[in-house]
Amino acid sequence: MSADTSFIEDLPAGPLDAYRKKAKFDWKKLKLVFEDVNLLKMKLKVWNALEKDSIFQRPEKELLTKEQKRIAALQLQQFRKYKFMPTNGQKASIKDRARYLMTINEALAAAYPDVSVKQALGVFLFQNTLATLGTERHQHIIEALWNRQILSALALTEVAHGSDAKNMRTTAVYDKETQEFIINTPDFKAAKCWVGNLGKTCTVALVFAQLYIGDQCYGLHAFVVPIRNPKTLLPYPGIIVGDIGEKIGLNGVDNGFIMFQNYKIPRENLLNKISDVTPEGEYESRISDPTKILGATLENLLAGRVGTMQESANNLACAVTIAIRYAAVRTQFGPSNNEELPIIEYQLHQWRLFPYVAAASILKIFSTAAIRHYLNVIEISHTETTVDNLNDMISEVHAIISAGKPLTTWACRDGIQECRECCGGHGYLKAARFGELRDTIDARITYEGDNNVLVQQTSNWLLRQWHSVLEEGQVCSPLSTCSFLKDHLVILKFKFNGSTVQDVKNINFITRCYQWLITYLVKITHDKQTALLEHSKCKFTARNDSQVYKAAILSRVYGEFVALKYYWKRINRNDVEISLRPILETLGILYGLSCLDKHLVYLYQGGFANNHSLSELVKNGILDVCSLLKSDVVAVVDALAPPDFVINSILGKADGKLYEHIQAEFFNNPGAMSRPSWWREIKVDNAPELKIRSKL
Amino acid sequence: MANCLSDFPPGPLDKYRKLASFDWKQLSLFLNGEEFLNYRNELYNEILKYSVLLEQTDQTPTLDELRRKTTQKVFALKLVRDSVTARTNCNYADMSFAESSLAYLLDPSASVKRSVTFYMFTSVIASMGTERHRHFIENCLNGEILGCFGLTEIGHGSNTRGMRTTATYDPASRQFILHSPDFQAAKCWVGSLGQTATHGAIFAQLVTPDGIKHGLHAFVVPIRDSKTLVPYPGVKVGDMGEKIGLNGVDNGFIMFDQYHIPRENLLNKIGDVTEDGRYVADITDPNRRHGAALGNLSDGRINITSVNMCYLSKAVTIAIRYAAVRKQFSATEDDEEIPILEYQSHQHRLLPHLATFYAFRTFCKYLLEERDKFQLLLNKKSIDVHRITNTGLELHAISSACKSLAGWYARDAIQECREACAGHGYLKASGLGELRSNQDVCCTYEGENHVLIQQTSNWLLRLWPLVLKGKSVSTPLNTVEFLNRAPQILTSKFTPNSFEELTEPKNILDTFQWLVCYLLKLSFEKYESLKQHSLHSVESKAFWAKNDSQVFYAKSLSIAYIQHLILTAMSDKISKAADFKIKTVLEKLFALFAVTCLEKHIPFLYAGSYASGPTAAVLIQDSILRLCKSIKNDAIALVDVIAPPDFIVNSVLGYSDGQVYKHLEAAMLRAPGALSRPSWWKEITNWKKNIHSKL
Ligand SMILES: Cc1cc2nc3c(=O)[nH]c(=O)nc-3n(C[C@H](O)[C@H](O)[C@H](O)COP(=O)(O)OP(=O)(O)OC[C@H]3O[C@@H](n4cnc5c(N)ncnc54)[C@H](O)[C@@H]3O)c2cc1C
Ligand SMILES: Cc1cc2nc3c(=O)[nH]c(=O)nc-3n(C[C@H](O)[C@H](O)[C@H](O)COP(=O)(O)OP(=O)(O)OC[C@H]3O[C@@H](n4cnc5c(N)ncnc54)[C@H](O)[C@@H]3O)c2cc1C
Repeated sequence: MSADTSFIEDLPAGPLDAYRKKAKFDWKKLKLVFEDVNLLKMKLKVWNALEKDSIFQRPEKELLTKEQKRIAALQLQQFRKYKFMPTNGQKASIKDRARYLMTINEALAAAYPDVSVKQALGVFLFQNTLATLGTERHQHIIEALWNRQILSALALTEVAHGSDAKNMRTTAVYDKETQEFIINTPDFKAAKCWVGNLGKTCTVALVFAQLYIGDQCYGLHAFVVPIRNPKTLLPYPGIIVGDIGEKIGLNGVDNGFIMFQNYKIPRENLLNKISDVTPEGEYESRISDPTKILGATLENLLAGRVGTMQESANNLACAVTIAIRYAAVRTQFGPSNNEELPIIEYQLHQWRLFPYVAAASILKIFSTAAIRHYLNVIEISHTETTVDNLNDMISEVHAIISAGKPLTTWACRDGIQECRECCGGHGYLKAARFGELRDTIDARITYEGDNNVLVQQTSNWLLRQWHSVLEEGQVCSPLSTCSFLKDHLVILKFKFNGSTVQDVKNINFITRCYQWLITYLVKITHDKQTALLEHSKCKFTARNDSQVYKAAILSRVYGEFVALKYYWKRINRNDVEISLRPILETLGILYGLSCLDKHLVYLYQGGFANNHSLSELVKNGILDVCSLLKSDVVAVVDALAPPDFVINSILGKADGKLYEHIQAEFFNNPGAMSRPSWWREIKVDNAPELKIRSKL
Repeated sequence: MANCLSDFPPGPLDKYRKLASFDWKQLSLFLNGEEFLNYRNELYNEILKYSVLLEQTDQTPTLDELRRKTTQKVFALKLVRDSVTARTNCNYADMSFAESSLAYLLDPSASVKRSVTFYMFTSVIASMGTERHRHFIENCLNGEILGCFGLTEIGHGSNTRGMRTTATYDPASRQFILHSPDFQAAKCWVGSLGQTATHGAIFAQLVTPDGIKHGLHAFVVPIRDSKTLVPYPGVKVGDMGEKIGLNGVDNGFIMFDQYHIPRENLLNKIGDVTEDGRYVADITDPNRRHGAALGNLSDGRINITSVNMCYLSKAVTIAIRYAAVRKQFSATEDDEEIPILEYQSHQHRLLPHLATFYAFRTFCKYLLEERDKFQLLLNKKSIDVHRITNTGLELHAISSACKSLAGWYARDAIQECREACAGHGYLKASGLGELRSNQDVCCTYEGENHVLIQQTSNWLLRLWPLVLKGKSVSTPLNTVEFLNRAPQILTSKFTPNSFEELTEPKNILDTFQWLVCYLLKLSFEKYESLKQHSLHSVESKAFWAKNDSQVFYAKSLSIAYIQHLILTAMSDKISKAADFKIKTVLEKLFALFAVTCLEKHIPFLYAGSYASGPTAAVLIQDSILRLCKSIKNDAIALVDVIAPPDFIVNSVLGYSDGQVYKHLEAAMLRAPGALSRPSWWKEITNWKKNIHSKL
């Protein structure tokens, strides 16, 4: 049975046809491996609507940042009015509904990142938190949100504390007399900051503060806090709220700061699913099952992170599309004076770009899988029944995503930069779009959990698994991402004994390498921590001093392994046609080898490879696969690419008419060919008359 | 002692300043020299006299306004330089580096624009023109005409031979007729051409009346009337619009439509056309003429190397000062919170970049001095043509590699620094975003890095046959003298067994010499074997063999070569340090830079059987961590040595007083309109009226 691809539009003819014709597969079918049919249709619906909508027209001239904020706010309001959800969507399961919402935001993010950030924070994540940490008494807020009556914000970060949430200093003191919480910000360092939508537009925010009853601190809790009068947008008395000013990117988002001065909110505004304060001022826990608490808290964190993974994978896909299409059309140098070559023909250029095409493919599928697992555990934790290993499952999903978010965002960062450089001077034009892509991904490295801090969560989990292997001979890996650890004795004896490129260009070799690497790294990290602990007696120090070359690499390697694992699973599903297998495997192997190339040191250091040819074989393997990919790569990016309107780059359009688009851009730029308004300031009156004779 | 070094205001950085193992002023003096420090001080004081250079804005202006301001700054910066050079007599190397460390950091757009408007234009004329063009230089340096440098075309950048703008000589009018056959042949990216230049040094294919093409030549081409700034008829010139960075520069495109210019405007040093239309040239080989026509591009690359390092110095200044002040997490609830500089991972992210600057600082000085000597050689019109040519080639090989490497180092350092400052690093007021956007292009212009660095390996590859034949290798700058010992070097082994042995300068240099020999041998063999077994046509065999030996090993070869040279320069400098404390800290920085470079080459050490067993890899990694840890307490003082003045740091996170939170607070509260409702607030409250769905 062949998938129906008729809803996917054909691509316009042009200079890219030469390479398109060489492809050995149907790009539309490949697209349906990268994307779920129904979700893809939904995204196309979103994009089609936006392309026609005047509010979403791209500005001709650059906008001042305050103007960008205005446009983004208007676009968000417009977007919220659209009804993209399928008619049966409202009745769908929690899981399906969430998936639809994520997809709608994903579509928005690919074309309008600022608006999507505003929506994600101000609507979806807010709603998510209310649903998971709030109770019936907060239902009316959720309704107002759906009725588009309010826009919100999530305020966790403070000026002096970001990653370290425990030490946040905003307080919410319970006042028995009035049955209110009194919120205070001790000083500027404790001001909430970076909060998206808070700068100019939100009317309510979810604020995380240390809950106090009397002198007793009960830790960080979430409160619904009214910020501005919805009719006037003026802040309420008792708070100082403002916009944090210009940023590197995402300037349509009004990130804000806020300081509270004896600001009172009703007792009911505490989100009280996990714990509550009674009117009399008693603190009480409401959920006894710790796994449910864990689930509820993590759900909020993870939602943003899986979303970030997906968006980053999409951005990477967008960047490689631009660079590959450019490389296939751009010619430079040649074997003889009258023959020029497209730069895609240069091995060096392939080496720079193709691994990122592979990465985009793998990471797109990986992030889809991560979302599926995330939604699964959410669904299970929302059912009343207790599932035995839910706790373990949640931990594992958490570990996957804590490695996956950094892996994806960093790959995207590096890929975008390489693509920008691969397009030479023209890549530096704003209209090429790499600047915006880079500035957007840059923020993702930091928010939703700073990458360098986040990876520690994964290594901690793996170290716990290692511990239980050593103690009990088993691992708690219900999703079996690291169940192989129990065979560590065998795995650590693996040796590389290949001698030809064929010996490395296969998934078995790659899998063996990864299993060995993970086992080896978890072992040496553990050993190092144990030694440090003995020496310093301080767990904190032991952990910190075993990050570089140990724990941090461990998380990375694990992330790559899991990404490949899910990719391989996907391409072996029976809906994938035989004709697609070769290209899909090529991409997988290229990703695997180009990642391994960065870890060769460990393979030598740990004795996996004594054979000195390993590094050469891996590198030659990459070159081989690259040259294999060359005739297919344009079709691969066709499968990865969203429509031109979304890519929004004069270098990356599907028709490949590169120079026509550059010309149109230059000639149509407003004012491009007129004198500057300030020309008198630089004219020279006493300039010597120089001979110039024009043809006139 | 240099009284130009003043103490820093007290503040949260004091804690680390007191921990420093050396006196930062002493180090600054040793590293920079008094002449440099004085010159930089003069320059700085002169800058302070121009109010337009002191303006700082919180909000990005419109493109038009930015252009206007930048142009004003260009003139101000030119006056600054003119007046300082007139009253001090500083050597070229120090002057050039000081310019990079102040002007380029103060305003990259204005500095780039100043450079193309005044210096690139005139230097093309100086090197390719003759007596009859001298007035252009004078007029330009007096600010009466504004120049630009036009080489790149829409369709061709790196491949200069493919340029398609033509300059056809018309004997009847005794003029050249410039013409762009189509849009792909339009000159583009030309800095200052977009809105302001009145003249350009434009490269075009010279065609004689007999239809013969004589290759690229440069012409002085009038573009706009300097009284009205209106372009002359026959040229279609425009601005390229917004870019990722350097938006203050008006990069432009231009198309010529049978545009006539006087015959004398051909820069005729290498070739000329007689009035009746005959081509005459000393160099008859068109290939060599092409090289000569592009002139000496090393200068630009040498400068960009320094500029990149100054960008890097600003980034590490910001991130390291922030890391010393920013605290996050504590061991237990009762403990004090820890500055993030104390975390191993944070040290490892930042400190190697600090070491990079120190390594390059001495190298840049060496390089600028060599460049200066070369210029003297040229000016002397010395008879030793052979020596001039070979020195030029070696400088070209050096500058092609170090420009590329410095670009990549700066790029990576800035990004790491941005991430290391996490959320607040993403503020515009951190300064890191603009730094990144402006630096980015250094990997592209003045020779696209990946294309450029091939020049270095090409040069090296031409030397290897001498080694094979047992002939002696001797180059004017002596950068590869060790190739004469290549056979012995190639049989040597990695011997260090301890941290001390590994980081010993001699051992480090030995290892790099092995790397260069090894990679050169492999590149050569790969190239030869590809050529031999090539299925391509005879004429294109060499072309393909060259292309297919870049990833392996030519690129790594160029990198290892230049790293060796950088390390040599630094170790020479260190050996001159009299103060034990200074010597010690510099040795650590040397080792950190060296071992960090070496880390990337580990697979080669094994593949070439130079190392075997786990020791080498483990030792290298452990040494890096150990060095980071031991430099940590000196980090702030080391930053103090290289930091630009506060006004030029211009980052809320990186000022020398370390009052990060005060500056953040001021920046957030000060931003215009920060606390007020947006002017368009009604569009939000009344949004139902404003927005109508089309669905
Ligand atoms: C565009 C943008 C939007 C945002 N939106 C919101 C929002 O809506 N709401 C909100 O609450 N917040 C928001 N944030 C804030 C964001 O969540 C924080 O910036 C992030 O959590 C990191 O915290 P921090 O900036 O305080 O960094 P810090 O925690 O101070 O970290 C600084 C540096 O130190 C390193 N570091 C810290 N601890 C350790 C350690 N233990 N070991 C090793 N290294 C360490 C980090 O890797 C980092 O490089 C946003 C940020 C950005 C950039
Ligand atoms: C801000 C800015 C200012 C500039 N100012 C000026 C100016 O004032 N005057 C001027 O004349 N020019 C200027 N330029 C142009 C600049 O010099 C060119 O962009 C540069 O030479 C690179 O050429 P290109 O853009 O055509 O890239 P291309 O040569 O088209 O290269 C595109 C990509 O292909 C790769 N590639 C090309 N050939 C090969 C090969 N043989 N092997 C492997 N890979 C290859 C390159 O690595 C690159 O990644 C400026 C550019 C910028 C961005």
